[in-house]
Order: sequence, then C-alpha cells, then structure tokens
Amino acid sequence: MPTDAYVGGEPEETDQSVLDSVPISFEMLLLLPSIATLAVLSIIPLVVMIYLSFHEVNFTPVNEVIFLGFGNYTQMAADGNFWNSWRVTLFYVAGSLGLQLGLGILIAVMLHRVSRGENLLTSIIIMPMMIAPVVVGLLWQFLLDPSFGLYTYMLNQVGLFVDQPILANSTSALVSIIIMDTWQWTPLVVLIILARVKSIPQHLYEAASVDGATGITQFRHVTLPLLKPAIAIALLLRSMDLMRYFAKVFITTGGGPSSSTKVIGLYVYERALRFFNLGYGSATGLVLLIVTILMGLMFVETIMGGAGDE
Amino acid sequence: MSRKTIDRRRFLRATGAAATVTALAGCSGGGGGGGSDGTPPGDDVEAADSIQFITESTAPSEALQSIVGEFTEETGIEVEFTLSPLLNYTEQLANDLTSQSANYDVAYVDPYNIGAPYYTDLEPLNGYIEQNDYDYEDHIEIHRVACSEFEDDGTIRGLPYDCPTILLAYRQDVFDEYGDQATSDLGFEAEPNPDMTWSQYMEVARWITENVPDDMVPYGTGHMAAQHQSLANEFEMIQWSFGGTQLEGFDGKDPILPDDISAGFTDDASMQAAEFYQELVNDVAHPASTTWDWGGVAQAFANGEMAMSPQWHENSGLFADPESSEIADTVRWTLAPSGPAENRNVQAHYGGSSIGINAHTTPEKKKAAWQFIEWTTSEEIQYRLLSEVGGTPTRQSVYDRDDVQAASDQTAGESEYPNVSPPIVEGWDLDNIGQRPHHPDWLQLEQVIYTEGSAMVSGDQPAADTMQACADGFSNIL
Repeated sequence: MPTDAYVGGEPEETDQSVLDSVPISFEMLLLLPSIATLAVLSIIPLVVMIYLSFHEVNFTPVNEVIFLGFGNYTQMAADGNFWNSWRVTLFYVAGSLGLQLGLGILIAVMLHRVSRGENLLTSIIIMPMMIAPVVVGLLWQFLLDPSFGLYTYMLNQVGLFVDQPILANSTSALVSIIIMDTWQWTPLVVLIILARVKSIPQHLYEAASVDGATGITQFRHVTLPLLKPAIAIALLLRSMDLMRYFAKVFITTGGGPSSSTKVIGLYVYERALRFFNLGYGSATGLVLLIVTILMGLMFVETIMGGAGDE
Repeated sequence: MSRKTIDRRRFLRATGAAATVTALAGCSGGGGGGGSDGTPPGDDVEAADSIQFITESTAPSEALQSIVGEFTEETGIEVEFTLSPLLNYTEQLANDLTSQSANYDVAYVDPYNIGAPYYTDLEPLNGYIEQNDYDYEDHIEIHRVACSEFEDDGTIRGLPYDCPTILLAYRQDVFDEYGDQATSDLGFEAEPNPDMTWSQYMEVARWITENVPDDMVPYGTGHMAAQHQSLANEFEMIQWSFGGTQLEGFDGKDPILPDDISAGFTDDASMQAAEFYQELVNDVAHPASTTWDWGGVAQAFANGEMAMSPQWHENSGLFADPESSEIADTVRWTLAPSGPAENRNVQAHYGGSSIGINAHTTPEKKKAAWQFIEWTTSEEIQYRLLSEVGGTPTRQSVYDRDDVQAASDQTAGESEYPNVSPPIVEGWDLDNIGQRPHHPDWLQLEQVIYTEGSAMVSGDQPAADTMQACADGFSNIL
C-alpha cells in the first residue's frame, strides 16, 4: 500500500500479520492459484513439448530418448506428407472461413430485420453448434453414404456423383468437410455478428437515409465498417478452431482419399498418438501452435486495427 | 521475528525426494510388481480379488463380459472390462504399458498394434504354462506363431484368443442364375473356388457388372479400399500372392524378421500386384470401394451391393442374420483367389489376437490374471463363445467336436455356428495363410501402404509410383 499518502501521526507499532511476513505481494498471492493452474495445464506441457521436439522418443522395446537437436525439424522440412497436410489445411481454413463469414454476416443482417419470431429463428439456427463434432461427422457420413445417403441420392437425381461417391473424390471430399464445418459453425459467427449489428445506433441509418443511401449502400458504408471488431473476433475464434480441426475428418474420411483431407491436426495426432513418435509429433504440434498464434495476431492487427484497443 | 521459511536448497531437496519417490513408484509398476523374468508367483502369493481387463470391443469380448460372472463365481475374482474401438484401445493400452502404471492387468494383445512394439511389457507365460499343465499345443499352429510369440527364442507372451481372417465371400444366388452363362462366356469355372486366380476373379467381377441386372446385384466385386488399415490388409494379401513383399526377405509367412531389413515394393511382382489392384478397384469394383473400410464393405455386401468380396470371416454372422442382411440365405465362402507367385501361396489374411498379462502388475494380480486367461482360452469357453456369439476358437479340439464339424459343412444361413461356415481352418493352413511381420513400427509402416495405396486406387497416382513411394516411406521409417 502507498504508506506515503498517510498524513496523520505515526502509526503505533503493531504485530505484523502473517501476510506481511510473506516475501511476495498480496496481489501476487491472489494470483498464485491461477498461475499454478496455468502452469499445470499449459506451461509445463508446453515446456515438455518443446523438450520432446528436440528428441527422438518412441514407445518401442528400445524405448530410448535420444537428443536430435533440430533433427525433427529438418526431417519435417523434407517430409512431403507434412507439407501436403499444410496445403490441405490452407484450403480447408480459407474455404471454411470465407463461407462461414459470408453466410454468417448475411444471416445475421437478415435476422436483425426479422420483426416477428426472431428468437425462434435464432434458436433453430444455432442448433448445429450444440452437436458434438463426432456426431456431426457420423451424421454427414450417413447423409453422404453412397448406398443410402440422402444427399447422395438427391445429387444422383440431378446426375451428379453417379459414378463416384462424394467422399471418394479428392476435391469433393475436401469440399464436403468444408461444408460440414460450415453447417456446424456458421451459427457461432451469426451470433457474434448479430450482437454487434444490434448495437449499431439506428440514427446512423436514419442519417444515411437522409443522405440518400439505399439498403446496399447503407450496409457497405454503415454496417460493414462498424462490424469490423466483431468480424475480427469471429475470424480469430474460428481460425484457431479450424487449425485444430480433427474429429469430423477422423470420422468421415480418415484423411483420405489420397490424403486429400488429411489436415494438419490429424497428421499431428497420427504421429504423436497413433504411432507414438512423440518427438516428431511434438515438433509438428509446435509448428502448428506457432502458425495459429501468428494467424491470430495477423487477424487482430490487420482487420481489427485499433478498434479492439478501445 | 521468526519466520517459517524454506530456503531454495531445502526446497530442491524436498521436491527432489518427492520426485524420486514418484519415479520409483512409477518404475515399480503401481504396486511393486516391476518387470518380470516370467517366473509365476509362488504358492505363498494369494490371487488378487479383482483385476482389470482391456480389450478391443469385439463381439467375442462383449460375450466374454456377459459370462464372466461364472468365472467370478468359480474363483472369487472380479474382472472389470474396458472395451474400446481398436485405435482407442491401442492408445490406452500402449500408454499403460509404456508408463508401467499397470492400470490394466490383463490385455487383449493385437499382435501388430501391441504385441510387436510392446512385447517386453507382457509377462512371459512359459513358466505359467508349464506349472499349470496348460494345453498350449492344442492351439492351432498359426496362432502360436502369429500372435503368441514375438521373439525367436520361444517366449510366449499371450495365449491365442480370437482370429478374424480375410477370405472370399460371394452370393450363391447370383451364380445359381448366371454362373453357367459366365462359365461359358469366360471359358473357366466362374463360381469362386479355391483354384480361382486373381486375374480370373477380376474377369468374373467385370462380367457380373456388365451382364447381371442391377436389381439382382449392381456390381461384381467390392473392396475395403478406403484410406484405412483395411486397404493395407487387402493389398498385402494380394501382394504376397503375386510374390511381392513389403520388406526384403519377408514373404508373408514367418512374422519374425531378421535384424537387417530393408524396404521391398520395387520388385516386379509387387509392381504387378499394384497394377492389378489399381485396375480391380478403380475400373471394376463398386465405385464406393474407395470409401469403405472393413466395416463399410461388410455392410455393403450385406445390403446386396456386390456379388463377391474379400471379407473378414467374422462378418459371417452379420451376413447370415436376416435382420441385418438382405442376402442372408445366399452367402457362401471360399479361400481368396491365388496369385501367380510360384514360390508361395497366400489365399487368406491372418487377423488373430491373443490375451496376455501386464508384466508390471503385482504378483497377486498376475496370479489372478493367469487364472482368467487360462479360463478364457479354455476349450469350454472358446466353444461357448463360438456357439453363443460367434467368436472364433483357436483350439483344434473345438473344431474336432462333432457339432462344430457338422456346422462347418453347412452354409452360414443354416449353420448354428456361422463363424465356422467359412473355411477358416483351411485358410489357417500354413500353405494358405499370409501374415504381417512383427515389426515394432508396423502400424506406421502400414500407414504408408494405405496412404499411398489410397492415392493409387483413387487414380491420383500410377501403380509404379505408388510402389516407389511405399519403398521410400518404408526406408524413411526403418
């Protein structure tokens, strides 16, 4: 406490409390449980992961830990499967983000204009978000099944995918998993954008009307600029989630056909937890972490600009 | 003022001691059992009153769980089951074995996912077998070779427990109606039989697709060719039968590998096998084959989507059940076709598993665990698992029983025991069976096969490039 602010007489000598005898501040004491929790859940695993990434660690009868230096990283640089997974992830993240954001903004703006039954519509729209990703994967697997899938049947009726099932083609399989994720997570973007749309003052639109702005012009010059912080938040949340995408691919395609849907999350899982190649798996996981952080920073800085700092 | 403080040196000493205690506890296997030289616990050790058993969630294991109360009644030992799908089971058990924490006392031992990489964490059972006069030799030879022993010194790490095997399933109704016409058009016996070759198989499949009406059967053949372990299993069998190999010096027969091994795949026979498989799946088979793993292709066959298909034989019960199959009365089984290899014959693919004891558990638990695995693999229980749920006994004595012999001569639809309707004992003959090697990295090696194989059957990669990519992938891992 700032004792120099005291202007009265000298305080009488009293017994020091137990807290005074601890060589750290009271604030730091309050923070200690959080720091300890963070250390156990995040910092220690991260340190172990970094340590493992410089070693060869295999759970085989040999079971030795061998220091490799940057060996895992140089192996990774020359690993065609690793780069293929990044290429798939890039397409997947870009496609999903684009679709989810576009649809999310569109649906949110339309919902805002609905005068009756908005709550009911919103409840219906957010339903997919409440389903576990594994269940979504199973559901879509049934819908796309070449023998009895409803969507396959409908597409077959218009002459599509008659000779090759949807999940058997490299391009359509990747598009399918993008659509699966879009179906499930566009509602989250809708919620984020809708909250922001509702906070835009009505008088801005009235002023724009007076200046002769039509619906589309209003959207472009009033709504969209004010949505920027919400868009940045949606992009940040979705991009981080998309980079770690795993369950639906694992259930529906297993990364196939021809590794066309093997996103980087699945690749890391296979190396680390299926083959127990913990060193190499940690190195690939670390690269994934760094890329995710960089991408998040990029979104915050470029799209949110200074708006988020307010 | 006196403060109760702890200096850095004391702190480090204290935490160091705690860490040492923790580490020693970890090494002692959660109760002091430690590793093992395979000597069974002595008479002074009393069997534990409960043990933990982890297994892949297969039909026989689920059935075992349903009757384990009888074991408890007999011995007083409770058995807690953990049933998980293959990959989850592998992860859980591998973690447990390598950490030596002994959460599981008894384990279902998949020879490739668990046995080959972690056999040192499984209790040697030779001493137990000898001490208890266990009739190990009654287990058919292939099981002893394939899923019980992982070293070349005769150490037994698991008792044979169950054995799915890839054979050929086909629809008799299709051949009853169109078989003669196909035979006449093709110039050889069209109905699948042990003498059929893979090239004949492809011709028959193509003929059926082109000539049999879709309302009877749309396609001649279907395959487990998704980017999954199933694709590797099917291709390995074909590769061996063509005379090719995944590892130099390995022929799909003896699972114990020499120390110095190198990647195969680039031999002429493997190239031919790859070209054949690519044409079979890409041009002839049901187009959904590249999306089916072993479960998917089984369900598609049961739905009547194809006339012939390599299948794991334990699906026989599924095909014979009218509630789950549209072709219940019509399914027949035979050995898979043979290849052109002159030096070997492979017409079946081995998929058996054993059951073993965690080497790191306590002597008390080991004693109880032995009683459980001895009971589980006894003739009586194997017979019951066959008759009640469709397990696959590994003991010759079960197949020698009159009712089992009679059932094996019937079709799956008629048979009381659908799992013996396919010619499994013939398939297990060492002259017919093919099996994967006991290599600690086999899971990872096999992934190379099905990843590159998926590109091949999807038409994204030529067969020759696929074999070269497999060779390169193997070399990187080896």
